[in-house]
Amino acid sequence: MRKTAIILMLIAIVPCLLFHLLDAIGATENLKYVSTTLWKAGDPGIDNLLLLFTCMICWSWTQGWIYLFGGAALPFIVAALVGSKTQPDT
Amino acid sequence: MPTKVTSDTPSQTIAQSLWLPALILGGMALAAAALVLHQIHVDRLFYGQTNGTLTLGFCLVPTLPYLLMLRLIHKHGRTRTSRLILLGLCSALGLWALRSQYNQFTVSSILLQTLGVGILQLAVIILRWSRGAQRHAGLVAAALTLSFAINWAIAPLVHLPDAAPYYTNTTLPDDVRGQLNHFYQVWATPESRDAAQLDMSEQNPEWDLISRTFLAASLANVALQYPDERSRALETLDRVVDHSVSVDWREFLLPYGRGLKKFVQKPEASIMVDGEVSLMIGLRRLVEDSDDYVHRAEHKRLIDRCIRAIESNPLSLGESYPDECWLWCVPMALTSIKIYDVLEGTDHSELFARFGRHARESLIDPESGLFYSAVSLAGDVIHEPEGSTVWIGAWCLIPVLPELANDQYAIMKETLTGKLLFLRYGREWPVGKTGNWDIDAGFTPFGMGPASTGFSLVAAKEMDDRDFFRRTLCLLNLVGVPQTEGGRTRYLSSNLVGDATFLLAKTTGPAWAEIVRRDAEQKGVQP
Repeated sequence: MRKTAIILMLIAIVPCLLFHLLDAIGATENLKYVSTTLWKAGDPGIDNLLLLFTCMICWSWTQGWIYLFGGAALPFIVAALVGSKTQPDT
Repeated sequence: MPTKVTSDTPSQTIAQSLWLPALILGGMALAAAALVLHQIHVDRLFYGQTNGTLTLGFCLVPTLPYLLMLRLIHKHGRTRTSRLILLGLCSALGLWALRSQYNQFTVSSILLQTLGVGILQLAVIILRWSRGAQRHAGLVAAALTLSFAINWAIAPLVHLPDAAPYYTNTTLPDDVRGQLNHFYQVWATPESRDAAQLDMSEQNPEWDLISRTFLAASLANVALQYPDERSRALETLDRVVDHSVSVDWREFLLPYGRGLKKFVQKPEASIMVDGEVSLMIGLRRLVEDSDDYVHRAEHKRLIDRCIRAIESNPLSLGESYPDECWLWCVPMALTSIKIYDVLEGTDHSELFARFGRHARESLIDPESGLFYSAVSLAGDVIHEPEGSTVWIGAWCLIPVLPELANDQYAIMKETLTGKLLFLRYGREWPVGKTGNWDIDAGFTPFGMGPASTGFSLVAAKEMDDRDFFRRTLCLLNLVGVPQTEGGRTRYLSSNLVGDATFLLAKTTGPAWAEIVRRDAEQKGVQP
């Protein structure tokens, strides 16, 4: 239960933190390629496109997926806490 | 873990190992060829040339899901039958994506095929787990479902913005303040202006013009609504007008409008450019006018040209491009003439009424009830109704032909919008129809149109449709990735024309109301 709770919390939080990290280093500028039609050879490059999709996915986490996975982690957190209280320390 | 069971003979296995990859590679080749042809067609149509390397690279991307299929089938297909079923499912999914969304398959086929393959692969993996692991997965799935249900229930309360501050507030909402600051900076110096507008112009000269028009309209609305912001808004509005007037009208046209074909109406002019530039001047004069205003003569010249074009055509149309009349541009020109009327005391009511009659008789698609997007001077349909055109057509007609605008808006709400959870969006084409993709439509996965969504927001705000407005604005804030830095707000996944559209959507209202008020005042009737 504890392991599941931790995994779900990490799934909820890590992409959000990653978005803010990408924003801090200016990588979110690659989002401009969503609306540009001026695609030339090498611009955007593969790195731009990877960052574009990463930023978009991470942004979607900050706007919604964090609540889904964070919410799903709650029952497991509760179960882990209850389990740790009912079992004697080894 | 259960042992993999296979009933195939060695010769059958060898045959499968040859024909399955051959079939999949054949599918990849066909998809790539279709995409290459489509991209070449789009490139030639809009840019007059083709970039071979880019086209090939761009078009190979959607074939990547086939590689996933290959891996899935070979790794998890236990028997020949199961492999065939998986291959059939994946291929059907891909074919459906190509068939139903053929105009947008570059994006939607990637999404659909990858999603389908991912779900299939996950299902196969889970089926091979032990009972205990399956039970645990079931618990996680139940927790996710419960969390989804709770989020579904409370999301509208948490995420939906309040529409009221955009309608009644006397102080600027924070996001409008931020967006204005961004545009003030863009137009602060010729260098910053040129850099931003050149970027637009290189992508699509029309977007350059539209971004100016929408910004000018936003600034006029802000100046009329917020007294504290009036002088700053007016200062930037003057810069927009001064520079736009100085640009040759052909520079705002896509390459195919610059001499390849001759305009039919004489003197040669584009009602798109005349209408939008005169609208900018008119809005400036609507906010503040004087006898010695520098662009009065130019205003009259442009308006005269619009009137002449519309009057001379049996269907009250003017050309945006040679023998191409867009139902974005003609309504905008009519609004511009209306503003001129309230400024100069002239009256073109008969011209407006004539357009209204012709619109209802000849310019509306009988099937959908919507304006066609573009017709020829003779009224032949060039483009069926498209969200990236008709929303703005209806928005423009509000102060000119309000009944027609209301009728169109009601039909657009019914046929050109969609629901996604608690959000609303604009569709590029009515439900069940797929038109011809063009550069203005943007990527339209599942019929959802980014341009149509932005423009529907403008129409909804002006129509006082607050529920639709807040639900669409919420979607915009979710997908547009708004970022505020140093007091300047812009949408990271948008561009200048998108930002101007969103700003207009948040501010539109006072200018059209002012036109209606002055018109009623001149005619001595109640607005």
